[in-house]
Amino acid sequence: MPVTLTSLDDVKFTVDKEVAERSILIKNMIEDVGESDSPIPLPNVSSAVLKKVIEYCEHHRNDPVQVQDETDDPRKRSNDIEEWDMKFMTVDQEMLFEIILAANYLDIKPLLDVGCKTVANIIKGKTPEEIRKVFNIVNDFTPEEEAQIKKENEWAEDR
Amino acid sequence: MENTEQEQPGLASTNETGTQDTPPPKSLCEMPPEVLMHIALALPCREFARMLQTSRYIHDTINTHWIWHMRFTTRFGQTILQPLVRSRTPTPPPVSTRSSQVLNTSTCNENPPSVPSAPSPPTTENTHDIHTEQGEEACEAMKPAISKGKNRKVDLRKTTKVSKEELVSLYKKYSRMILPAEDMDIVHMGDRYWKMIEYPSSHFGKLAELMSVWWMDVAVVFRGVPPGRYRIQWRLSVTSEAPVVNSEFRAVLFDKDENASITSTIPEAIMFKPRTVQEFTEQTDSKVAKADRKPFRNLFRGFATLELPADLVVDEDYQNVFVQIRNHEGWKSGLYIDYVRLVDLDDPVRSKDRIALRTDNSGCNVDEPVNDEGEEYYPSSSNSWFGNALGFRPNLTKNDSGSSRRPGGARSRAFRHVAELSDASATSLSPTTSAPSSPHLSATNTGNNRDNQPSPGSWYKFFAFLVIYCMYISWTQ
Repeated sequence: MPVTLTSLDDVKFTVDKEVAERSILIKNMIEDVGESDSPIPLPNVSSAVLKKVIEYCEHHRNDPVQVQDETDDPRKRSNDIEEWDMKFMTVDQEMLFEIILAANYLDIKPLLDVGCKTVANIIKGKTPEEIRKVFNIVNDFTPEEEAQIKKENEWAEDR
Repeated sequence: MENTEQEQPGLASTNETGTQDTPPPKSLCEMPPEVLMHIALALPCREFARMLQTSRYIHDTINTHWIWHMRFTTRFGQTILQPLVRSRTPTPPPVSTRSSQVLNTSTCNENPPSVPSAPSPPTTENTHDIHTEQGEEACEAMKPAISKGKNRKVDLRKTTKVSKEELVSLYKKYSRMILPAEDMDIVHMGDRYWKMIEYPSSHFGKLAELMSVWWMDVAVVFRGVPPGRYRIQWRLSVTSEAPVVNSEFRAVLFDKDENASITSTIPEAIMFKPRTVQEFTEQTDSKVAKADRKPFRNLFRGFATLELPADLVVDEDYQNVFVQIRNHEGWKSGLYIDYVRLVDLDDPVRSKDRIALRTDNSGCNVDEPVNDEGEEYYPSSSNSWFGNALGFRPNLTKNDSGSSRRPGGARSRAFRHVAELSDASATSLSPTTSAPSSPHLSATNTGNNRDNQPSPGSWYKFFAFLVIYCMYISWTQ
């Protein structure tokens, strides 16, 4: 049964219900609305990003659905990303952030995991200053605060 | 997938509801807190600490109790926190003892009997009480039947009472990749067989000194080792072959929620058992030439790093690594332990800690004669034997700085030598080799290992004097 999704810029995407329900948000909306042909609006997701999200859900449509529960065994390490996912996430930083935000909004945990791990892999090996530069972070610490926090955390350099 | 494009995607346009679209974030700081926390949980320890230093918002968002609790339990499991929690909750009424028998018990934490003439093994194969400080009884009483592997269900609510400061402190302690001798579980550690000595030029300022022991068993656990490939390195000073030849240098991987005693039932990941001195020295970075040239000769100049000849592979999840040196046969002495370390081969910075093995050291000519000047060949135990046999003690030479026998004298002299020189050219430590005589004698003489040791030159002078004296006596009579 097809489901129609409408992006922020009024672009309509028709996908199988099984694919759409990879998003817990959409799944709950479908359950609430019941049998209906009306499109599901997604005002927080642009068409370009929604297209990528749908591509991901299509590829992983047969994956077992993860039970989203705090008592699940905590997350895997950063380098545990499939090859297809790695290629999928080879996008510019702006798109990467938008995919993460969309996954967060649409409640697609596997996609959010992959997105965050991709960001974590970018951060790996970088100093705080390099992290700021890559991700446009403004350093709003005073020099004293910065020195203190650096001292508090220098133990982690050889962990 | 079908899509019907009715509009070209654009930037910051007004949608049907008339609200202004939110432009995409350009900075990580613009991400919602839950996303930042998600990223923070995916970071390794070093990068997490660096991310804390980037901005106030990020620092305040991810430096929280919840994040530290998640990070700690992900890496080290929950079992290790349970004694802390137990101490803060009222004692529940007694329950059936069946529920407390989940873990295999290594409750025999007593050291083996310490009678020198009758060494006997401990009642269990592994007597290490790695979890002493965590309270093994507490672990056994509280631990539910935890399933293993990826599908383990954990109830994080059980350990949320541990404060953030405690979690950070414990994380700091357990995440170490280099562990000093002081933190090792050494059977017979005390004053008689093993002892801890101050040694300023060692990495941690202290060494574990093996004076003389039959049941040699040194073990330590690296907790929450991240997935990856590692090499295990021991930094040692070896003054006799007995502690290393036919000793087992082993490593066992086990689940982070299990007790170290389980390692006795798991196949080891690495086992290195050198049969000869050559086999041992080939795995070190020390320049040793013809170590078997002279008896009781110190094997190395100063310290050497032994690297076990296999990669330790930790896959899928954080695991504990049980590392051990054991040799339960024969008397041995003359070993000083500084630390044991895991070298991360996947980290471009840390992997540089790998040593250049002796066999790879092109600068080392195995046939090159060794300059033995200043080396001490005879253990102090034989010195005292000589003195005891003849009924007197030979005069010490000027190399002893004129000092008479005093406790710690030889050691202080050796330390002075080593402190003055680098490890590569340092003179040997005071040899405390196993005496060639009976165990009783070597046990008796362990206390004399502190005595000063004359150089070979002083022996020659003594014998020359004796000969001249005898000739003089014969001439005068």
